[in-house]
Amino acid sequence: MRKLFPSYLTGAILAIIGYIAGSQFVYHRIGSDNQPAGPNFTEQGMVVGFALFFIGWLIGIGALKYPFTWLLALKDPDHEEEMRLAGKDAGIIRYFKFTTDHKVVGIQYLVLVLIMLGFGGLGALLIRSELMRPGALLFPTETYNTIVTMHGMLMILATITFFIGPFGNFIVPIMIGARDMAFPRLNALSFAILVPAIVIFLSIPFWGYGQANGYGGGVQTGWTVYGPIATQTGMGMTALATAVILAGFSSILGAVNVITTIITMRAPGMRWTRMPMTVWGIFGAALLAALGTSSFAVDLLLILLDRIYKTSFFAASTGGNAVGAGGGNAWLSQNLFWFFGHPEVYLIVLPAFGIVCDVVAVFSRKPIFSYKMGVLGIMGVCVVSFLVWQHHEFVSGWAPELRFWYMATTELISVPTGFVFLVLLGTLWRGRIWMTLPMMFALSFLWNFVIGGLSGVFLSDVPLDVQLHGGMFVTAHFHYTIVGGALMCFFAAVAYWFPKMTGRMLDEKLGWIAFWGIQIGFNVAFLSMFIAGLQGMPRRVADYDPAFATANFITSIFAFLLIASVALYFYNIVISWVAGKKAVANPWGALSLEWQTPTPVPLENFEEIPVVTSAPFQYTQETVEAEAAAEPAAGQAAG
Amino acid sequence: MDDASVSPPTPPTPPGPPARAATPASTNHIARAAIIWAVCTAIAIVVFLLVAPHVVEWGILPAAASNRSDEINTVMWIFTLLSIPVFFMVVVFGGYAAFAFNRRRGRAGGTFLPSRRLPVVWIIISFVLVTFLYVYGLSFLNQVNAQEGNNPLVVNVTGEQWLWNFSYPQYGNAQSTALELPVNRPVIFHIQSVDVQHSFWIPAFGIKQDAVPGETTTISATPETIGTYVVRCAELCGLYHAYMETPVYVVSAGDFDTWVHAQVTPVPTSSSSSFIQPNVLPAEAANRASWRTSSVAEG
Repeated sequence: MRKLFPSYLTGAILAIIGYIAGSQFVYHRIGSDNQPAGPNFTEQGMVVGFALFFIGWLIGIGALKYPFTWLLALKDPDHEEEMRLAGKDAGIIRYFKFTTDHKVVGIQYLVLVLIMLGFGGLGALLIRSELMRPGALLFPTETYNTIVTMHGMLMILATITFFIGPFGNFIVPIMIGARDMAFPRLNALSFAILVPAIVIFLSIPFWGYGQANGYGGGVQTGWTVYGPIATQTGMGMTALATAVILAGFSSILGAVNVITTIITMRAPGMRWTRMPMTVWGIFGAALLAALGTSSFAVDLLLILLDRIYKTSFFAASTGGNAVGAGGGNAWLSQNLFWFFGHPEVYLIVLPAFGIVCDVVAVFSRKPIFSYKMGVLGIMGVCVVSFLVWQHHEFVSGWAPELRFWYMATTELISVPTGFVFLVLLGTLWRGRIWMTLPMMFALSFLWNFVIGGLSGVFLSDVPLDVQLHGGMFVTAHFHYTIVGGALMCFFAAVAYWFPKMTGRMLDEKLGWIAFWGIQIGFNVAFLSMFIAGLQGMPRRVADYDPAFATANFITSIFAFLLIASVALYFYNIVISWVAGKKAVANPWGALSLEWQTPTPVPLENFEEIPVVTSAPFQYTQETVEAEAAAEPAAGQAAG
Repeated sequence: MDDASVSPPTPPTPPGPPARAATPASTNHIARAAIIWAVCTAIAIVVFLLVAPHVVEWGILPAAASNRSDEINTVMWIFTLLSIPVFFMVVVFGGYAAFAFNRRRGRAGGTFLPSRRLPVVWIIISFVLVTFLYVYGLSFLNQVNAQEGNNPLVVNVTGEQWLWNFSYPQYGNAQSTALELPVNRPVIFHIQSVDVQHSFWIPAFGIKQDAVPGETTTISATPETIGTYVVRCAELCGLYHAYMETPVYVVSAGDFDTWVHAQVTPVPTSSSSSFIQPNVLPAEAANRASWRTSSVAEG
């Protein structure tokens, strides 16, 4: 019982007490005369309640203990105490408390991300069920719009986390030969912040239904939360804004930690040119997260101010129907959002570039082809991604004279992306390809991402974008990049590092079935969605013209196949984690540092810090031939 | 290595020098993949050229009813044609490698180490492609930005939750909730919104422009085919966003004159900006979304 203090249990208790105290204090003592008050809460109360919920959680899990003891100069923690905080000999309970060991944080992130993807996938299931036939099938539009918003936002939160979180924390420090992250407590804190953020986020559907203000409960805005509709919509918006600001904090703190770790904690001999591509990808993504996220947080803060203090950043004076006091401008919202929003999609996909290069190198038994091109590709995309955001506003009417420039940068970004394809094809060519589950997912990236990329070139062209913008073509395009590109790489990464992270092998046969289900379901569903977009179907509609019925029906059916297959993959993860085949330390014969450690990786990773003497994945003709001769049966059994 | 059934065993070939056996194989592979790539590309281009003239007829693209539509379709054809070889480049070479160099085939692996030439060639080709697309797109961009001349019809478009209102300032501010346009006369739309952002989209005309509260945005097109089309809202604008659409009638100049003069008197100006009762799908809007009522009737 003592072990549970402090833990997530005490955190949850204090958080709930905090929320009730905060929201009720505001409701009873301060009150409100301009809010549609629900049963015992107002929006002001919600914000204060969420703040105390968050602080209560941090106190409850003990995250604030060390900063305060340090502030009050009581004493500095000694090494033994640091080890205890890192979960030494704590057993399974260390996963349910504030633990600084980067491997524990990595596992916590992995589980949370899987849960987020699960909820997001549930949203996808509901959306595709509603859109299966024209007409209102399942939900009122109020509910449908809320589901669309939550699906979008939750998937974005999951995907910006699902490389930096699990793999950036668990794998990257070992890969570069470090004992832990640069700031272990900050690391644990960044995860600890994300938990209440997701809890608050999942509460969105429960705010403001029934006592509608005329514009619906939940959130009616889509994940882009443009003002002024974000000001007008239901109380769920306040929960969304608070949750996403918190998640943004978590993302920035995590990113700063990853950047510092990669810059300062590399083992002797681990030069910049010797880092595996995964590290480059996550480094680029962390730069984007650290620099871009704040813009969105500002956007959400202004929305909160507009909602609660009746400022008017986004609402213009338009007469009787105006949403706010007037004087604001909706274009501000679009710019603040997309200045974050576009780097953010590259944030999702940069680690995927890195991981897919590494996986392909390992299973082709070849060094990465033209490593410098790969690095140039990743860092080139990283820099250029900050210069393209206006392409989301080609039809907004804002600064049409700048369109020629943003069209140029947007098309330019396909050049460094192309470098990554050269690296992949060159690495595959004349390798000795071992077709494992991670390799299959990595290869599916080639097919899927090239479709996503090419359809992106269509959208970068202003005359075409004028027709396709805001339609299903865009939805299909970014699902091709994020699901077809990044999510496939996430599945590859899970399968690839599963033995190291859990000590067990991911079941190949179940994974194989899930793989083909995912590929077929995904491709047919979204190719068909391209057709709906070309036909002229707008995005985010609860109901549509029967002219689009065929394309939508096909999309829905194959989306169900996709969702079922992903569910099977998740089931595979759970069942293999619990009862999979025990893994040896280096089942793939990989050469990077994380595979040279024993499994499970001991606390502090290395008995002594390794010295790196070569670039990653230096497979040679001799070693590969020797391996081929040594295991004649392996090729047949596992290949 | 004992996969003799899949590929012929290499050891019993004493006459050939073993060192030679490996080197020409590499050129073979590249040539073979290149041939597959060329064949796939050619087939895809032929299929595309056969399909392309029919896509409007088959309902894959909306009817091309304005001067913008043809431009857009031309750009789309060019982009698709250029995408086909790029797509097959990645897919064929990746797929070929995955099959031909699979370790089940018993190959011991090879070296294909970076030459200086390949990355340079790759960079040059991708820059050339991108530059071409950019310059090509730029020439059309000027036309998107261009204003229509020659006695244009001005239509003021106002988006409000969840209706489109149109007024014709050149015709005594005639008001309408459906859009009626004369054929072959340039139209300039001045677009506004009274509440949140909407997006004014006529798929058949190939035009789209956001309606931004407090700002007036502009877009123009010349309708070229008489017929009935639709205006859709392309920006999520709240509860009934999906139903925010209204018909577009492109009619002859004579019919338009008759219609527009009939609109001036009966509709008082104030009714167009009447506040819609929240939470109730305006009956008017529901009726105008003709596909909605018909689909309800279906089942």
